[in-house]
Amino acid sequence: MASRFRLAVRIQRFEVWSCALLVAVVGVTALIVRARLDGVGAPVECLMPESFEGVIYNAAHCDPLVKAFSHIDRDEGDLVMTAMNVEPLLVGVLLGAGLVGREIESGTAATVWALAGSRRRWLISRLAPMLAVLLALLAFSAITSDLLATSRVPWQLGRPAFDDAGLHGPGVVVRGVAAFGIALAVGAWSGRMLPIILISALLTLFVWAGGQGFFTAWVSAKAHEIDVPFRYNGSYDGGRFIAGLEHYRLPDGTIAGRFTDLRALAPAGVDPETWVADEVDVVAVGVHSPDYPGWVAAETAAFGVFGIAWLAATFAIVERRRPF
Amino acid sequence: MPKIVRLPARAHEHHDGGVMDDTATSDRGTRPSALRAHGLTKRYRRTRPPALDGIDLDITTGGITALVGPNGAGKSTLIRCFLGFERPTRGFVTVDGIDPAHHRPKALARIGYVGQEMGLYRRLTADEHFELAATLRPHFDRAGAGERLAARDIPRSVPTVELSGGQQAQIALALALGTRAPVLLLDEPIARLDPLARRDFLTTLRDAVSADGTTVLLASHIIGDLEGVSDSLMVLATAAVMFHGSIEAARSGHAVVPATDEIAPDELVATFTGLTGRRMSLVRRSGTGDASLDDVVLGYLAAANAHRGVA
Repeated sequence: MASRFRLAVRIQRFEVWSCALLVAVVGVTALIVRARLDGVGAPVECLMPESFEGVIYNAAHCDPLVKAFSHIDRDEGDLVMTAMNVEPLLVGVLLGAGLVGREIESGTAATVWALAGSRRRWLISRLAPMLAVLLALLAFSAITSDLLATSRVPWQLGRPAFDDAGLHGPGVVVRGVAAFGIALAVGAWSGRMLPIILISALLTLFVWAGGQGFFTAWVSAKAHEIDVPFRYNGSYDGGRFIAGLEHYRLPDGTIAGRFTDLRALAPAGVDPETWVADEVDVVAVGVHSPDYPGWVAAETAAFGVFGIAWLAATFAIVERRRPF
Repeated sequence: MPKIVRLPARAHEHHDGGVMDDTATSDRGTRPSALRAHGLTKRYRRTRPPALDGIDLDITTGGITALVGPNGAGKSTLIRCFLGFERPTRGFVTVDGIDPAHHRPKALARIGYVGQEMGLYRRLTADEHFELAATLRPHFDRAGAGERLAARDIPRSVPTVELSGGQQAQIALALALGTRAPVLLLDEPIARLDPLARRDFLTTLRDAVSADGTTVLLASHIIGDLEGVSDSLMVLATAAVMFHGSIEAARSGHAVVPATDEIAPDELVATFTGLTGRRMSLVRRSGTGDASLDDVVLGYLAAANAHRGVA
């Protein structure tokens, strides 16, 4: 087992070390930024949004701390989180593309497939070590980015939040596995590295966009009315994530999302302007931070199934294709 | 008009795609078949001529069979069919009685293989290749493979990319021999080697297989090198087997005469231009011929071309 792992890493050592370096740089940067944010020493009361009940903002004390915190948060924290959009996908593609694809391109597939007899057994012997490497790297990424994400919203007191959803925690792991699965299957199908990289990059772009779309769809589906003043709509409030900039509760209790639609909903014979002004309440809609584990479970299941489907496709392709 | 010579077609047998009778014997003797093809046709595209067209062949256990033919003759395709890398369009092949199209792992367990590209990992050492092989193939003989390289002073702890082509070929051969498989399929492994490396490769091969009855099918262009190590010759051209017999039978069963000589139609194989530029005819002589292997191969390739309509 140790021998297989060592050889698998040796065969893909360029990709493994490249990915390890990338993950280490981003992960250590995340930890440094977290330490710098924590080092500002800004009390939670200074950083809490004003909408929190009972928060008294002491400008003289808080302003310099908030300025220092915001500076690090915006310039460095955003940079790390921007990198987290790409990092797991890049790691997945780099490790997945060469696993079967380069074996075919370089002619080693014919040798090892003839030696192994069972291609399934060969693929498992190559896949297991590389999956272990992938999961270890992504887990490090997930943890370090999660630690940073927690420090960026200190008023959450360490609880998970929807801020930067998908860019920290388990979302990082499952996105990386999905990208790995794509590159693996494309590699097995194509057997040529340049097309593999290009096609995989394109497909993982869809994964990224799909992740954003899935998040929006999930929040929209789970969103419910949240009792906060309208002026805080579209921002963080009491640990809640608000799903839309503005929503409206009609007299019958239903929620409408677009102001421009309201007049058309006015009953016949009533002045629409008056009806909107008198009868329609402005409300906030969103999901509470306690809903976050639900989102994590949903994204893990969705991306997990997606990634597993590509892995299964790889087995089918490898079983059938020529080794050259 | 030259006559095309084909092996006699075997009687059609029932084939259900499963494991064949391991005791099946050759037409040419009582030894069991190691490699068989029956009605083997492989067509890559419907609009293109087949790479192999209804081939019947039977290679008995033990010995080295030289598979020669021009580029595109179907040598690699034939070997890939035995490996289960290609599925026959029609017909079937067996390895030790097993059809690789339906029982690929079982068939491959009986095969050691070296391809044209050697198929080595550039950054792995020879020892690491043997270690990898041991993880993939039960009972792989790591010690024996290592000893084979040591006997030729080939470094085992240097990445293969830093070794010469000949040394890489020796590693690839050691990998194939280390499987201790009863059948070795070698797909032009010496094509890119210099004469010394080719000689070393073939010497290693001959020494390794002569003792244990391994069956070797060795595809190559280089006829001169094969003469000393091969037991039998198979000429493949235009998707068909043109000649298959022992080296001795190839030499003593044929003669080369000037093309101007009068030749009985059933004796003539083909008329061709020899290496000296003279027009010659390859004719069949039952045991009294003295043709060189080059002449035999050139004659049968000319016969194939004539059959195909090539001037």
